[in-house]
Amino acid sequence: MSKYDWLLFLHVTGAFCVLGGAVMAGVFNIAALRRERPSEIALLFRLTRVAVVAIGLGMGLTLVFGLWLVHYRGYGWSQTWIVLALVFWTLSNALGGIGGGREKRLRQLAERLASEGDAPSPELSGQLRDVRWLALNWTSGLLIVTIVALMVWKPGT
Amino acid sequence: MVAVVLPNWRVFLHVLGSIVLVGSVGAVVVLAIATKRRPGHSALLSRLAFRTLLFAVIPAWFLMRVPAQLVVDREYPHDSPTWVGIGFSVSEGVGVVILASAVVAYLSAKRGGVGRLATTLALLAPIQLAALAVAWWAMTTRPS
Repeated sequence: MSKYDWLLFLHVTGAFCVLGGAVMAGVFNIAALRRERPSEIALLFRLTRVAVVAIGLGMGLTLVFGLWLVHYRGYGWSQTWIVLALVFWTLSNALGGIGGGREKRLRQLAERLASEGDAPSPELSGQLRDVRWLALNWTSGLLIVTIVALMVWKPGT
Repeated sequence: MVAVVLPNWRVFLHVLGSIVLVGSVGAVVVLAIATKRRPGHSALLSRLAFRTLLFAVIPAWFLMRVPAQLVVDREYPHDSPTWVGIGFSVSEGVGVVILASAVVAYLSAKRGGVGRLATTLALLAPIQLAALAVAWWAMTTRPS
């Protein structure tokens, strides 16, 4: 394997971790949306932490090896697809961070309600189905899919 | 313009399918292991593992495999290189394991996620993930 092969493999591995993690988180979040019992919602949010680790690791790998690849292949730093990918990467990270913080608070609320009788709670259901939170998560995911599209089409090369 | 965009759509759909496949198999791995480790919730978790296989993993496998075939038919109409062969062998093997896992997950969910079937799913799911990692290695490094 050449140096380029290694860089590309590690960059793509990072992409699989980020997007795979996002899909995983999506599966658990959708499952949580369909539940009413706080203990079940708390359990599904605890499982989401595995996805969060994968996303964090992948974000690091994609950035480090992506920048390394740009330098190694001699792509111009001002090419449209590279600039847009970096902007979307930053935005997606920021939105994911905000969504993640909210998710943590929801999990803590679900855990508290589970320990206090585990009865369905309108407060938890309301927060779980908050349109702003859902929009934040889906926008973050959409931005990452857009980055994949940029990597495939490479506009501006 | 169309000549440039259309082939890339096939590649994009193949990549998207691969990503959703890896993520959804990852979710099944987590759910299958959690089924074993959280007996209080094993019925719910085994049901979710089955539904994830049915509604995410199997459709994602087709989204990955069909555009891959279209790309290969276009790019290598007569003789495909070794790395394509590795990718196809792995993906078809994974397809068989996915089908077997779906049957196991269905039976396990019917039994409330307890017993040997739940253990079998917890063993099968990580194998799929490892095999997919081999496929993405072959796709990116393209060994001859």
